[in-house]
Amino acid sequence: MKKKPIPNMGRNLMLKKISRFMKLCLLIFVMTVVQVTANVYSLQAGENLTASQQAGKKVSGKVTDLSGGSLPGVSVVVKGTTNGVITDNGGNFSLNNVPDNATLQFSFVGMKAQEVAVGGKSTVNVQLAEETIGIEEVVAIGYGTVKKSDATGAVNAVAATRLMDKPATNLGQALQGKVSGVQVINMGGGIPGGNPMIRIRGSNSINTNNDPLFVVDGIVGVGNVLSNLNPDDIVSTDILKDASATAIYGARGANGVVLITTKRGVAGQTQVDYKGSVSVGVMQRHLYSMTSEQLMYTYEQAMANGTKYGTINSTKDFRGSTGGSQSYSEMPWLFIPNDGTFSVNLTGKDGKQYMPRYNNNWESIVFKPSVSQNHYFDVRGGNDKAKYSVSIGYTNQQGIMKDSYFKRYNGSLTGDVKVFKWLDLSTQLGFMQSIQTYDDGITRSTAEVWPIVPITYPNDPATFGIYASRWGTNADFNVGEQWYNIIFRRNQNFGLTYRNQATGSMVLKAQITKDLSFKSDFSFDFNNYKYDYYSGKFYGGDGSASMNNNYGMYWQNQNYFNYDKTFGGDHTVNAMVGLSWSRYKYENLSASNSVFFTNFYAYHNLGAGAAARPGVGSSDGFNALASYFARANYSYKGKYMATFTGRMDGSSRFGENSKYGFFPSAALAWKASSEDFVKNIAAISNLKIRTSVGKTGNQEIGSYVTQRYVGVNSSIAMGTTSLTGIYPSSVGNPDLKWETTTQYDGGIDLGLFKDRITLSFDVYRKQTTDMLLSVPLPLSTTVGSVTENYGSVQNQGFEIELNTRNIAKGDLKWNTTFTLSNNQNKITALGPTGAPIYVQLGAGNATTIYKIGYPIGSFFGLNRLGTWSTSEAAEAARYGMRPGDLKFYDKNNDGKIDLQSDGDIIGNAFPKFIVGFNNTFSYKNFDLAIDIAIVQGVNKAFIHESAEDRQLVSGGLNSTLTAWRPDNQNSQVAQIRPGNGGAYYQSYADTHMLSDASFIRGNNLTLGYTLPGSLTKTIKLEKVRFYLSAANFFLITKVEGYDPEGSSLDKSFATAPNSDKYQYPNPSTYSFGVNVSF
Amino acid sequence: MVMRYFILLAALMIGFSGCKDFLVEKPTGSLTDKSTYTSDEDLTALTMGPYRQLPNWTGGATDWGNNLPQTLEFPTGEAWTVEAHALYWRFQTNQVSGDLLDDFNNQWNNWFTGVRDANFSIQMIEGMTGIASDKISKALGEVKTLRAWYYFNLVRYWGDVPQITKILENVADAELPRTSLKKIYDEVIIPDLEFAIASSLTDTKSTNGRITKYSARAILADVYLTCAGYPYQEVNATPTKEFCVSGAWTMKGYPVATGKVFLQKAKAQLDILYGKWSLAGSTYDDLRNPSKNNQGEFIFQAQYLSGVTNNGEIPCALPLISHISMYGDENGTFIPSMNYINSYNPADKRVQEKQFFFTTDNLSTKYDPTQSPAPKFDRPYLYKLYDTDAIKNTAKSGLNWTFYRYADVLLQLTEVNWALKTLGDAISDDDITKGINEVRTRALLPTYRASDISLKEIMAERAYELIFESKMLWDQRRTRMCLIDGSGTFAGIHDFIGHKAGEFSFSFGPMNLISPMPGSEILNNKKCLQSFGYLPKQVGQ
Repeated sequence: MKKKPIPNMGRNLMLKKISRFMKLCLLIFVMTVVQVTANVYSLQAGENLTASQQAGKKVSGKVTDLSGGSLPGVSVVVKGTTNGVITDNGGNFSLNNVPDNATLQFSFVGMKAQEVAVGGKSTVNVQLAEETIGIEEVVAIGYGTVKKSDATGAVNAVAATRLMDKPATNLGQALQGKVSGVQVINMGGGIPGGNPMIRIRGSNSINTNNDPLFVVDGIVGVGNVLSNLNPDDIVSTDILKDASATAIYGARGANGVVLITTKRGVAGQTQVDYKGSVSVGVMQRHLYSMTSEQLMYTYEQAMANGTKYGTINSTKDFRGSTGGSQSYSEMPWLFIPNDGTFSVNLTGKDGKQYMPRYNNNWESIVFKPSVSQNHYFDVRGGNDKAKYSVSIGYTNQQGIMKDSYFKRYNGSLTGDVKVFKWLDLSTQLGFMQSIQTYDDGITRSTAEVWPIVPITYPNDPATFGIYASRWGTNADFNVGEQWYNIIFRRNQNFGLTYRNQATGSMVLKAQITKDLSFKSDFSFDFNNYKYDYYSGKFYGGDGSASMNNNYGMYWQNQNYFNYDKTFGGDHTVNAMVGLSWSRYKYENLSASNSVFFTNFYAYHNLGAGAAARPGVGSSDGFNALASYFARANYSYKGKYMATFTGRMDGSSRFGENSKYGFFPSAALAWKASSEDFVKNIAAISNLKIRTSVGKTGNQEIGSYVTQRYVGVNSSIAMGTTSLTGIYPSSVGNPDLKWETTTQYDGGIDLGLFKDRITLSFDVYRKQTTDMLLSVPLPLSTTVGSVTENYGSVQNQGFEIELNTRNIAKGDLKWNTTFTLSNNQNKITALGPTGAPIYVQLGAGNATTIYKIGYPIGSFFGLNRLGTWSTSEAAEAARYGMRPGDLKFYDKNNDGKIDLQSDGDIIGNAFPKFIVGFNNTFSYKNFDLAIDIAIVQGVNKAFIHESAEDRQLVSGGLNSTLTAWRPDNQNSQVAQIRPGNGGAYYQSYADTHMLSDASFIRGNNLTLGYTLPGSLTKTIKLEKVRFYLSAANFFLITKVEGYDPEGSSLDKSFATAPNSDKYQYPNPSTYSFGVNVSF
Repeated sequence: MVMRYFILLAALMIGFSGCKDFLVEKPTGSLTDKSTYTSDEDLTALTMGPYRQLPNWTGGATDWGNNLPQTLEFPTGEAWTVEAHALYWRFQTNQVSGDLLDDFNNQWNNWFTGVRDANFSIQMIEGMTGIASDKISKALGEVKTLRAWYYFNLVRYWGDVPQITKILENVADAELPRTSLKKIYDEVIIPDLEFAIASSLTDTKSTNGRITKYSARAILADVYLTCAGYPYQEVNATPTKEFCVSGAWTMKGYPVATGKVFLQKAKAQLDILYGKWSLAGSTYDDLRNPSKNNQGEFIFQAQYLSGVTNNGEIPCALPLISHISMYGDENGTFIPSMNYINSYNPADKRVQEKQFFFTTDNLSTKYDPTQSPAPKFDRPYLYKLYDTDAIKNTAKSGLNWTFYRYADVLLQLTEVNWALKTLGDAISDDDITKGINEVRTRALLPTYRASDISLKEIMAERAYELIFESKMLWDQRRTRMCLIDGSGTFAGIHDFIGHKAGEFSFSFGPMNLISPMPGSEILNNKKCLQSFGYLPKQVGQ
């Protein structure tokens, strides 16, 4: 273990200062609370009476966008009153009773709000700028916001209008292709509720979490955002990418930060919105498994080749009279006399010809078009003193696989109250529940179960004997493994995952002076994860049920000052300093039982089971962070900008000697377009050059890993009883500390032709050091691994985001967003010896490797050269092989094939380039959006082990039919042989299972129509929009299997997401939806 | 104002008292190395810990039907499988490597975990105060016997392995080179067992699975017998030679003259054990009956308890997908080769239907409520592990796995006495014949005279009686002799080097005398070199 002398003096001094600062903060916080308590009952709405009772006149006008197009649906409110209207289809409004000194507020989703003083005029015309492209856009940067034009870091803001321009069940889907530097990988394929994986600028680390930090309405590290947060609730999403932006989150910021702002109340007329959609999912691609005819051909071939590859087991060979005790004529449950339609000769012992009774295509049996729906309501309103919002959402996503679904219920309440002129109180309460079915690994049955097996046999004992009324399994055909058909599995094997979540926050903001404010929040995030599972009695066992119930309670208290001042017109300073505490406590409880006499109880009554020793388990723990942070932004004449941030985090997860970490950052920006010599260039409307450097941390290891544990086993059988024993169970590491990522970023923001074209370009380099690595240790002396700060990973790349308003005049508008991200990942140091680390070396897996000089997620395997030909018999014999056997490259030419010794890095699970190409068009009342995703330079492993290599053990892909034959010697598939009849086979992670998984996907196509305002008015609605949408509407790829993206869940690895052993198919989805504003 | 300041002061005090331990971890669900052990109950828990690895003897080695007992029979050349997952073909063609499934990784991990558990317990027990010294002595006797047992398996399988007898304090010291097997016998295995014989363990049979002096004596006798043969005697002759890595094994012939002292020591232990059990009145059915666990002729067994810790080997021995059991899997991967079975005397009771083998059975009620006869098997399958209740009803077997039983002790007694006589000691004929003849009498075979007995008869009887009890591999290696398959009898014995087993495509060479170091150890322990002839090799090797 590494031991470094630690200079303690400096830290102690710092801690003292911090503790003094903490006291000050606490003082102010407590005083604020006391004042609120003392004054809460005297809260009076005294001010707005005078305004609304003043007599006023009629004011009218027109609201347009920057290009002159009229804007319907804009909210126009007399400030400080509830007096307001919405603009009509021509963008016109008319308001009565407006005092001369009133101010009008104009607001519209997606546009920057504006306030205009009436000043006695009767006509007020207003132009609103779009929020997404407007250079005065405000971006969230953590503990505050900054004008986009003043931002020094790499931050991408995605407004709701852009985020939700297509139906999306979760934030990940909504973000896909929209932000450069952000990779969204669809891990679960089409599994309902399957979470995508999000990587911001690559993977920093091997064994810790690489997911970005989610901050929702100021709550840092909210759990289950991808499953539980309803994207319809989101107003804006800001992605912090460079260290200048993320370092303010210190030990949690290294993987990037996603700041999410949800809907809140608005002043003015009450807004009511409804969004609803119905979607149909249909199968897009197929796995081609064998038909009954192909299977029986394979069987006959296999048995004929049996003795060549082993000692044939005669009871498995029922080829007519040559066979064992049974033949086709003795298996009436599967075979009937050939009516002449069956081309393969199946001769029974009686000498007659037979054919299979059934020919099932399991894919078409279990995958059916599915209908999903989504409904969302929100009500928002309020005035200057108090604003509220209420929203409820319901999502019912049905998977294309039978009985697979995801349901989600969301409810949210917010309130913003002006307690005093100087004090704002904001509160939020949200509740979410999602329910997801257990679909793991079930899809494999579609390829594994033979077409000759039925779902169930008819209740006809005369014909089917003991098989009557039974579920069909491969084992009914005597050479088959006990593989249950998929309908049987769905019937006998089910589980539900509940994710219940409540979040809440209370934020006080005190304006101490004009320039100085203080914010204090108390927030919580309660997560309950419950998993119930039952595996039925008929499913090869006694019936076993289990329930797992876990809860986690997170709370945080953050307190910080904000100081904002401009000196002498040229020097603008914005400073923030604060501290926070947070703590997460968790508790897990699990119980299981088996030996049920009936399937009736499932997991609803665990006590009904009669297992000798029902399972029970529990664990608990906590982790905590104490943090101190500060940021200073300085801008000179709006030309030169600098940002400095620093955060010190103390984490309970680390060793006694290294709990505190300090994470600083600095950024500089030069806004060249504010210089006169650039201003003179008419074409350039914005030009900014940014650079930043900083350190962020990662602490995502479990609690208590620094300890050396002594384990306990209470079921050591001894005679007729069982006893309890203890043993050393972990290595522990008292010196463990956070992992550090140092990031350099350089960027340029360019706006041309009044921002008709905007371009952002960033290059970055990240170096992760002191990586929290699970270092493999010898099993001779240890339990096999210890978490140590060992190893480095480098990510470097560039990002381009190009927005163009191709056509902006008149009725037709066409905007394009093009994003391109490139990330190159490389491991630069690894463990004490630098030895490579292999993952999943066993057969039936895609092996991956972590190796110095190569990216995380490299596929490792043998080079499959094909098959040995007849002319190579002598050479094959050197490997104990025969012509027809698989031929692999023998790297060290020692006459032996060994995966570790002869293998090589053969592919990569992360792409070179990710491109998003998004277009939006509008023409009069129609709108059209087309999103295309392009991913290039990535491999996917489609694991053939059970489908091709392991012939006639259970099912197979019809690619097996391309197997070696004396007349077909150029093949990648070994000659067909009976795996369950005594023949050997070879199966390794190899090049044959990898394919180029680059793809071009039509992510989304949406055509919308907004009813004309005149019509909307007559039905007393504000806005009605209908749309038709198609997701995943085309896919161009060379990859085998259901999708170029994702993993089967039971084999999923975050560091190599493309390992597929029969993953859930990704459907094409067609939706019809309506958005109504009342 | 006074009130406000009072509240403020109170809040500050509450706030800071809460902060003091804010970042301190206090594990609640697990003991740590800082825990102390003081009570009798603590002593029991420390004694039991090292037992936990014994049931893993029948654990899996990755992939369907590939359990660890298979991995100990496949290398002998006398096993077979009808199912391909276990990759038996790699043994057949001498393509075995340290990465072969988890054959070697898991075995290594199981036995070294046993060593680590024992090291921890020994250190903690030795540090306990306030416990009566005879209790400490008894506990140490148990735990040291277990440590010796784990090491005995390690050195028989791999020869030189890392030697560690203390808790590892610093992970920087985790990588250890292979230590001479002789040193491990001399410094750990033999002293540990001799300690147990001298400890306050009871000098009786074990009836509950816990170690007694009898179990320690049975292991010690086997250790002495093994040290009297190979590879100990060859290493003893040239202690500095790196045999395991160079493969420079040359010695052959059994018994080995220089091993005589060990044979005498073995005889002393076996003589104490002789007569303490009897085979008379016992049947072969007792071997597969969980209610006879720890009774009858059993001396030392891995303990199982149906529904708590199950014997994983039962379904492996069943014919592949034969529908005769309640098990979800009937693997057909633990099968003696046809040549082996044909080498039994047809008159041998053990080879009769449903003694050690079976060829017919009825379908399980899971497939046929009337349990009609299943199709006749294509060959005999092992019946020794036929736990009827598990197979026909529960699919969970509590049948113990036997490490030592009296028949084994009797055959060792014959071997030791025959060997000592061969090396010139005065041994009575009765001492040579009594052991083997008690075994043969139960098998309804004619008894031997002393002059009938040579190494072939002894090895053959061990092969017949102890078939698939994880013995043959050790017997081949310690004698460097292999049985030649025959018809009605083994045709003879052959030197290990150059022997071609019936199922194998190659003849044994020096590399086959020890097993490949596990792939994971080669990767993570840079000081550990690969055994001669095997992959994967150490970097730079």
